[in-house]
Amino acid sequence: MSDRASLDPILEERLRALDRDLGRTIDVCDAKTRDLEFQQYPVDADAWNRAFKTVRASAHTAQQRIEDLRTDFAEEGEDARGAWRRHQLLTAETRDVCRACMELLGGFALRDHMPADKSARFPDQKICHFTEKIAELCNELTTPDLNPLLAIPAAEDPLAETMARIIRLRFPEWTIWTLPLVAYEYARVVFDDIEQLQAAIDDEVRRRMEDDEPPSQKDVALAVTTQLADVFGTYVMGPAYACAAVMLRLEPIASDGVEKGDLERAATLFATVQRLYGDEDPAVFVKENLRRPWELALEGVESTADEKRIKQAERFAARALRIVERTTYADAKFESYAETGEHWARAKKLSESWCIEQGGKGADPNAPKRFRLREVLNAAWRSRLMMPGSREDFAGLAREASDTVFQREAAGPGEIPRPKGAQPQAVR
Amino acid sequence: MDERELFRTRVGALAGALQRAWPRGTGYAGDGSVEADLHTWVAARVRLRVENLQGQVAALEAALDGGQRLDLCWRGYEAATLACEPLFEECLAVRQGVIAREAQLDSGICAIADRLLAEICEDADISWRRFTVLGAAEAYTHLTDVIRVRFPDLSVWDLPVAAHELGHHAAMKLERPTQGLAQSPFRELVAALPDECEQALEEYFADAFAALTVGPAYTCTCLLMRFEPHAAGEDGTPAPDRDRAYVLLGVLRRAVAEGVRTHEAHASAKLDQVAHLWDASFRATHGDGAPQADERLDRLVARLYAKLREALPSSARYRDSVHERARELAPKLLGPNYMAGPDAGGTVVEALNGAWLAHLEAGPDSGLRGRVTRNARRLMDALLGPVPAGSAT
Repeated sequence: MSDRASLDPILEERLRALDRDLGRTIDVCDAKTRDLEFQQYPVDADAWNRAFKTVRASAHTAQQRIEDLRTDFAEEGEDARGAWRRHQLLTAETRDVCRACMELLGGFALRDHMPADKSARFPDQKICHFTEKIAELCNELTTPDLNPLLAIPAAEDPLAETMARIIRLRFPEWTIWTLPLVAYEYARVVFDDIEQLQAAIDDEVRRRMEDDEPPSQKDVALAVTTQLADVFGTYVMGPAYACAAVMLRLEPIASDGVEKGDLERAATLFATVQRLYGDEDPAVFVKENLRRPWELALEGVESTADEKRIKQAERFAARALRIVERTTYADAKFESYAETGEHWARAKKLSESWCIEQGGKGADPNAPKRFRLREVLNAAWRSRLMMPGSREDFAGLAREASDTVFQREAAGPGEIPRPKGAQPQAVR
Repeated sequence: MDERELFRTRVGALAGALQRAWPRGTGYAGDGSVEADLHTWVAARVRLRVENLQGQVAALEAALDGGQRLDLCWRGYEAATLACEPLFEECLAVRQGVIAREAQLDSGICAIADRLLAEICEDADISWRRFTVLGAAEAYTHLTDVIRVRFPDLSVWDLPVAAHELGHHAAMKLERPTQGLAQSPFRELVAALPDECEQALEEYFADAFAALTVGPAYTCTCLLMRFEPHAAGEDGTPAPDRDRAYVLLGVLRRAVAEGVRTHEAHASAKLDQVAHLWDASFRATHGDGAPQADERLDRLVARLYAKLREALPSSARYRDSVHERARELAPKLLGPNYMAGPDAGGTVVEALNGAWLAHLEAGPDSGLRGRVTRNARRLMDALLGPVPAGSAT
């Protein structure tokens, strides 16, 4: 250590403490501090490493910066004031790394302790399994070369930035009804990895910034990213995504005068459904059972939308849909009828059988026997909107059906997604 | 279907979330573990809060059915959602923290923190039937009273900060006995200093509480490891580190002058050493040294010390016997072959101060400091004795 560095022992002490914290964090990432022996829900080393990969890399980067600071201070003439300022940045960086690590650690631990008993009111671990199944599906249909994502419970808003490549389930909203929104979470995590989608976001942000009075670039980017994630979610999950978003997330009234862009998001969702399904049954269902109550709610609270921004969102929905279509594989779209993959017709049939059962007419002998997870979620939302009073019963039926799918698919290999003939192309 | 359907759905979802946030009796331990403590001590408070919020949500439904205007209903929903957020965050954080502790991800530091806080509570006559868990930041929340220890600061040097968090609890619970009704020293302080921001006063109060109960160890942790010398309060922080350092040193000097009479010269010299280091860092970043005189802060120091002195018995304050034991421990902790046995005896407060004296003695020698760190941890583990894995104090 040079004489100059020794002039400020407190700074040296702080740097050592940061270095130590980062070292401990790396130890956790490397699973050196404990055996990975989660009791109920084992996490293999591969999954652990994937989840902690970015945290670990960030910790190493921060350690290198600490070393650079020491060197600059000792040899390159960095003054004390500058060194302390750099230390301040390093402290914030280290705090973020450690917070991300703690969140992952706590999430894994809590997930392991979720009761498996479905009668328990506490969210059970199957929701994590289902979530990962949906994320896996999104991966297969979009970027099979990316590793699948794990899901953990989290408190913060899922929009928050995260170092961990992980799906965050908003506590305590772990229900079958919010599962379609996993596609949104997935999109938020992987957008950076998919060049075409990132380029589409950049293009749209540029376009909107050319407006007369654009909001800040950060706000525009957030709005565009959110809307693209909504388009992706609707494309992959079908009407169930729009139902979950409108019925459980979007607010018809501005929060404390702060416009969150929910009216534009709703416009994006409805425009996407319209373009996806035209005048076919899914679009008719959404129009009558989702768009109508949304519009009634807007009227009820006398909420007025900015027409220009609504049109902007609808136009973007059309462009975004084309990009999502080109970026994903053939089975990605939740179809209206049997064409290439899972579809609304079977979901509707399943829903009708559930409604018959709930109507007191006993089990429907014609109920479909084989179905996929996306179909179950669409059937659940359709049933709920058709018979709101039986919501809890439909949740139970949907859970059972999802479990059946899960067990069946765990027993055998899944279908390999079929490319459309060419690799997805970048859209400019 | 009408314009109220969406609202009904949303309120139903919020009611469901409240049910799931803290479920009743589902597979929890009853074996004296932290998880059992969680349900014995924390559950009632959380359930009460859940019930209150459930009442708020039920009132929303009733208002809707009673023909209340829909926009007002949505405003009420917004308020209920905002009120639920801290509850949900706390439920998740506490549960994750407890599980992480049960899984020994804290390397045992929470048990030592529990012991430290139990010592302080017993001496200061504060009831805090809670425990510590790992968290993303040190924190105390009134909702559960559970104190979080910052991950990954799992070393003995960070332990004194837990006493500061307990100080926030003390701000609400510590009482000064009188012939009539007990008085709250913190409320008296707030009333006596109407020009001071209450949030800042609580921070200073927690600092002074930790300084008085833990002694120089807390001041060392703050000045040498936590406070930012370049953060002079320009950013509008209610209690900037510069002022906190001034108040801490002021309170501790008074405590030493009054309670550490036999070893006053030694204790004061060590305080001067820490103050000098802080001053040097302050000078390096500001050009000038740390403030040596501040009328407003001097008044605050005097009030804080007086109020806490009235509320804390001498056995709860830093004193000669603690400093003496710390001085005995320091050279042992610097030794290469220190082996703390089950008969180590003493308190965590003594061990912390012994460790900091050894740390200051070690100077910039990182090898020696590392040895002190390891020895101090051995000593504290020995103080706890053979505790069953994963159990509370």
